[in-house]
Amino acid sequence: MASIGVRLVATTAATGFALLRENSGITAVSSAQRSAINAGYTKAIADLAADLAGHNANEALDDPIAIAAAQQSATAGVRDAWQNISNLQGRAAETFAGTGPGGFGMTITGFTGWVGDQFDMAWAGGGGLVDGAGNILYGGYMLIHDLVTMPIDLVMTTYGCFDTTSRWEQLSYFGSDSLAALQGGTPLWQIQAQTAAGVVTLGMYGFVTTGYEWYVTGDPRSFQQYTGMFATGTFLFGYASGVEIAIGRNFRVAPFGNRTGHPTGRYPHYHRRGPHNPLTNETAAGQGIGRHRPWDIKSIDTTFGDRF
Amino acid sequence: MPSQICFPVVRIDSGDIELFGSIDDLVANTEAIDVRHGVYEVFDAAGRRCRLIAPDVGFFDLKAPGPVQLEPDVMGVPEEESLRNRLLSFLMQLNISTADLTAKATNELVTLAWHLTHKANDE
Repeated sequence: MASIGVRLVATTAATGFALLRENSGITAVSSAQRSAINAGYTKAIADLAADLAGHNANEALDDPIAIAAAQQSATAGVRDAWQNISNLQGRAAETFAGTGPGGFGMTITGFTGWVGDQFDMAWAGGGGLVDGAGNILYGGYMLIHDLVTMPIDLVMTTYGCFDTTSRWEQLSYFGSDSLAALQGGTPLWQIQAQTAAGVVTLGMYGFVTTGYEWYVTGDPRSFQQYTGMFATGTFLFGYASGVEIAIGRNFRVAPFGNRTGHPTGRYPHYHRRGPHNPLTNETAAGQGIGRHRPWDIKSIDTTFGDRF
Repeated sequence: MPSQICFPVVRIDSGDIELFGSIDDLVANTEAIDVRHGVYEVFDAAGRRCRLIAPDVGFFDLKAPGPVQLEPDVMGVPEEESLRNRLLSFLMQLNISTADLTAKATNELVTLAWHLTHKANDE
């Protein structure tokens, strides 16, 4: 037989449980009702918004203010288009004037503008020429400086004078020192041939690389400087060697003169076999191939043209 | 040997003739490429044929042409008549009468050609 205390505890527990269950039920019902109410209101608001959007759209179609605004906008667009056409027509004279003075429809203002444009272009071109000449001279100076300070055996690999990758490489004989190759038994002509081929290759390589750099970056300085180096090197080589360019056996040109000790041969000159004497079918007197034209003067010349 | 050469030396290029009073003068006025091309015939004043020798050059023929050398053709016989004919042909181009020329000896023709080609304005 359970004691009063035990029963009281059991009753209290049962009561508490019942209350808890009742409370949970009430809470669930309340939540469900709140959700249902909220859903209803949400739908109502959405419907109202949709109705309002539709209503506003219908209203806009009939709204005279909106219609007027739209028409004004269209008119302004047309007016702007015509203004653009007018502007193009107004600029037509100058546009045609770009090909020269007196173009179709050119006005005085257009002509003065054209003159100003030409002056600007000439000024800019002159500045570019001065800059280019400066760069060419600088390239020549660099080559001379390097030739003086570096062994003549070495040839510069040029990636542009401003490029830190510029360096010297031995091109004398397959990357070796030509003196060592000579001492090793390589024939001199073979070393010379390889050196010449290397220099020619380097020359083409330099023009291609610096020209490409100009094309990519728009900066012509490296190309100009390389041109200066190439031209200076060509001149130095030509002057020192006294090279002559022969075209057949009866004509050749010495663009840098010779270093043979001849008084007029030191200057740029050319050689040409003169006309034949029709009586003997031999070269006329004083017109041999050895003459340094146009400098040499011979006592047997009969006309000024004999020296040419 | 140069000492065997009798100056002036006569250098013949087809119908054109030049005379040189010394080796240095000849060397300064003669380019190696012409020698290599076999352009010139050379005689000394005694009618002996001489040889011009050009130095060898590099593979691309771009070296400075070194001085040519002159040596007598010691194996050859004197060719005075050949030299005389060449001088006559040259001098007749200069409007000198044939009768005057044919009367002269070879050494006189050499002297005449020397004076005609070495006036004051000649290089």
